[in-house]
Amino acid sequence: MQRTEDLSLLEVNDIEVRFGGLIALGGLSFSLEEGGICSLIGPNGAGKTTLFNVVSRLYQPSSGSVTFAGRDLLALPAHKIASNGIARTFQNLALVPGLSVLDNVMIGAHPRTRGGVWAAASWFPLRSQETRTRTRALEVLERLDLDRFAAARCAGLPYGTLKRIELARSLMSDPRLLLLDEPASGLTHSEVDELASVITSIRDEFSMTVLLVEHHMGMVMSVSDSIVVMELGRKIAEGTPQEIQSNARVIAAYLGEPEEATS
Amino acid sequence: MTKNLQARAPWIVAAIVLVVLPLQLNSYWVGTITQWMPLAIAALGLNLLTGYNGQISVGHGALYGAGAYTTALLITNWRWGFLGAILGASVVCFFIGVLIGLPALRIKGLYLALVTLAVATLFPQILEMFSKTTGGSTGLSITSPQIYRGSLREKPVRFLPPEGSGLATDQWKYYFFLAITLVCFILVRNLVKSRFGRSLVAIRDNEVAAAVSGVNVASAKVITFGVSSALAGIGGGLAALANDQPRIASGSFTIETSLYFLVAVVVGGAASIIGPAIGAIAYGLFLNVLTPELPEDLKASTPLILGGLLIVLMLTEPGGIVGLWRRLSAAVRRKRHRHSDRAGHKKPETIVETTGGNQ
Ligand SMILES: Nc1ncnc2c1ncn2[C@@H]1O[C@H](COP(=O)(O)OP(=O)(O)OP(=O)(O)O)[C@@H](O)[C@H]1O
Ligand SMILES: [Mg+2]
Repeated sequence: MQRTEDLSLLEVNDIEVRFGGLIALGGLSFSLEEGGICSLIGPNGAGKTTLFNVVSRLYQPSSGSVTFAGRDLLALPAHKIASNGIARTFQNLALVPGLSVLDNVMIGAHPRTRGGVWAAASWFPLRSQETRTRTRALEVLERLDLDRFAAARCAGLPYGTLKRIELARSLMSDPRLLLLDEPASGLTHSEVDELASVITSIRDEFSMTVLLVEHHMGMVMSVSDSIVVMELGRKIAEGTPQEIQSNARVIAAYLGEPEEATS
Repeated sequence: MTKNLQARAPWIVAAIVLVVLPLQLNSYWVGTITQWMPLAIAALGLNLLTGYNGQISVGHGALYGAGAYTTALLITNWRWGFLGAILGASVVCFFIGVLIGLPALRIKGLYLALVTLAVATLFPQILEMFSKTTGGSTGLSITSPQIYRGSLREKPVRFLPPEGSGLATDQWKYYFFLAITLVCFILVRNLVKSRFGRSLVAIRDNEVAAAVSGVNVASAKVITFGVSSALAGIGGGLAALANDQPRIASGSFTIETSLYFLVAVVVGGAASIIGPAIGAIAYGLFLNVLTPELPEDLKASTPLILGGLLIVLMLTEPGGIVGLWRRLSAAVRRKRHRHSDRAGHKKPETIVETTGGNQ
């Protein structure tokens, strides 16, 4: 019993988040094993993004605990999350319009690099680190087929491209856990298939654990090792894709109708 | 390599011009340009804070003043050298900036502008309060003991050129100012192009993106306030020494001074390195060259004219002079592409590489 707890990478325990009278997460608990792709699904407003924001330390839960690799995440400030091995993308994009695509991706390397104001101002001490970061960012951009946008600004690029730029940025910190919030939204059918294969292959290349929030059921079923189903801020089911597909409660709560709504 | 050189060519030319300038101009112009440099440094500092980091300060005139008084007191009372006193002023202003930056973490946008406005408004009154040390509105003369008619006396400090250099006092002072100005601009340029600079822009555009990427938003903001203030302090220190008989008074560091820096940043182009310098020059030209030419009855309304021009510029080109330049040069480049495409001789890439040389 102890052992399985020790093995899990992320442990969410009885988390409650309220917005005024609204309970966005009402005692959510689940744990995530290291190494697979786990999908978090549930109808709109189930609290999936809220959970991501709790793990990123953007929202403060009123009760509960979150541990990551044995460490109490709620004791850390938001900017320490990335250096502890968790990276994420956003449902509604959080890019920096004032920077080039390359610089946006390079920002992701922040937790892996060093140097204060004085070192930066005198340029010399940080120059080789800067070159390494740039080379790495260009590699990641190329890996995601984005290299031709490196010098561009984000403004005006297609939505799907921007989502991939965010993915590139999140990979720059070499995360142990990657949180993806609806990466397939706004993509065409063939783009979704491509994204699914990209996610599985980068998971292997970067040897990460992926927690995926996605409404696109085709993709969820094909890439996931396990699935957690949420409804109204709680976990209602958990299992392999096959188990979830045949779970009566899940079908009632979720799988029934939104399938048409998403495509 | 050659591409690098071509990209740098305009800067090298500009540096050469700046070095040769005082040898060609009369002393009026040498003195005038010398006076623009402190403004440019302070505007550079403000631009780092406002343009790059998105924190508005209407209080940089006060930090400019703090730098001026620190420099004056270090030289007159503590017998420090010019360079040491200016570095001292930058350190003092860094810490003042950090102190202002701390509450700025909790307040944003308009509120921050109001708080810094209060700092700017209170500063002359604080000087009056400590008029024993600061000289209040009468002012403070920056002096050092000098041999005068055979005896040691307190005389206004002067920039004595090194013997054998063949430079006049004003030329030497120009070079002293220029060296400090160039160092400040190069340091800020490096800063902006670094990891730290990226996080500044990220904080300005999207704090959540910055924090999630591991940027300590609070500390970066406070440090930026400090660095920006240190630059204002260096500018102020130089401004205190800019006149032939260096003297400062509380009347020189009013809210107007703060607004001039904002004007220089906006006119030159926010979030560009060279913008504040161009803004300071444009402002200097307006004040030192254009204003004296105006008919007497119009002179009183120069602030009004300046304000009007500012509004027109903001509406037509929010990127300031640098933004205008970038837009025009991009248009020229596009036009050349089209020409060369029609001619079918060269690929666009080769054209891009040669534009630097053709301009
Ligand atoms: N910052 C906030 N302020 C107020 N209410 C919020 C906030 N964030 C989320 N909520 C509410 O919490 C509930 C859960 O929202 P959340 O965004 O986590 O849902 P979700 O599962 O991600 O849904 P979707 O699939 O639509 O993205 C919703 O009712 C939402 O309106
Ligand atoms: Mg969501």
